[in-house]
Amino acid sequence: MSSGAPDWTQKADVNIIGQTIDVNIKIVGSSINLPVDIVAQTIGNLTVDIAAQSLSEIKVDIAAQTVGNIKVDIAAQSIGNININLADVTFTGSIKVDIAAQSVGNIGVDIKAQTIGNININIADVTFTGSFKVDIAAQSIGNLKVDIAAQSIGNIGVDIKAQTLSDLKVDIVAQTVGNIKVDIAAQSVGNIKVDIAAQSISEIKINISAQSVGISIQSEWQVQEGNLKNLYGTLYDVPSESGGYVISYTVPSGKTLYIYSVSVSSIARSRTEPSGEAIFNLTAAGVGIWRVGVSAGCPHAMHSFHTPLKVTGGQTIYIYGYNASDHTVYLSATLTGYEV
Amino acid sequence: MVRASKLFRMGRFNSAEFVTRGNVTVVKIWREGWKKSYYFKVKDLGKKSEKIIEDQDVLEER
Repeated sequence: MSSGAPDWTQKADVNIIGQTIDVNIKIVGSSINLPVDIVAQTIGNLTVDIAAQSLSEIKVDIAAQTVGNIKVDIAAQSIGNININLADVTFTGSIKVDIAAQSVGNIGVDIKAQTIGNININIADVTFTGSFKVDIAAQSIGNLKVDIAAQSIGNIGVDIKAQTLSDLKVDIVAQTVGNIKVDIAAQSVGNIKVDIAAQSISEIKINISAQSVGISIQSEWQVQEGNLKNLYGTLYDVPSESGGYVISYTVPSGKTLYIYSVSVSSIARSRTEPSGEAIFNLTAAGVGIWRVGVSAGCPHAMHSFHTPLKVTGGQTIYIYGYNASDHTVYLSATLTGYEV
Repeated sequence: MVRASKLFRMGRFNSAEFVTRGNVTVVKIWREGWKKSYYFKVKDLGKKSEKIIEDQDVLEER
């Protein structure tokens, strides 16, 4: 704290009682002890800006019928503990806490309210080895956004009890994640989407207790997500002893095509002639993947890949058909998969 | 307005049907949400000499 204050100790008790009060307080000192008690039916805005080298404890208790907006900006090298307790009947404003500190102890946020507008907590911290606990009990919550950028985090505990919760999005980017435990108890849950990218995962346990729940395998899930890729081709009037590409598709850059099913058929153009012999080649990136011959007695073939065939961006997948019969045929083929 | 051949190259379709007669292929594409399918006509599909000879505008994509 910059100087400018006289070099002596002062003690002052200030009591302000009135119907309408407008107070601006500026305190400059090297060491400050400042307890503030507010009792009010209505609080408009409460803005607290703190710039200090070290801050032992921040404790905010608010008991009011209505609260507007709460904004707390803290810039300090070290912070002991931060506790925010809000017991409110209706809180439709927003709580915004921005913390920029080299080290932070524990952060506890307890909110009990019927309605909550938005809660934003941003922590930009070099080392945050304390714990971050957020307990929210509300009938409805608008948005809850927590951004934490830290080299190391001790524990994060989030307990949410609400009748309705619109969206809950959790993004974790870390070199090491210990354990993740998610317990959801709700009358209805929309969609749960979990994306995990890790070099190794020790164990994944999923317990679902619901009246009706559907679990989709990857191929079915991708179809639900709108990533179905169905390629169907027909080569008309293929003369005897000749052939051509029935399907030709180059996977776009940045995409990956997964094929899990292929089927082919050869049908004679003339009804008076039998369906003819034909040979089909499935190639991807210039490499033969699957080859099949069909005959007049069985002029079609189908194959399902136990593990989907993967074709990366820029590579081309072909199905080449060759008419090995002595008459003109139609050659058809279908590839089914998904592209992401 | 986007041409059907461009959406095909970008992979922005769910189903593609290839109908080939000789060296001319009609590629008909459809995507979820579209009211109809769209096509483009191409000569020598997949070859260096490939040439588009007809290409529809896809009304649903702008």
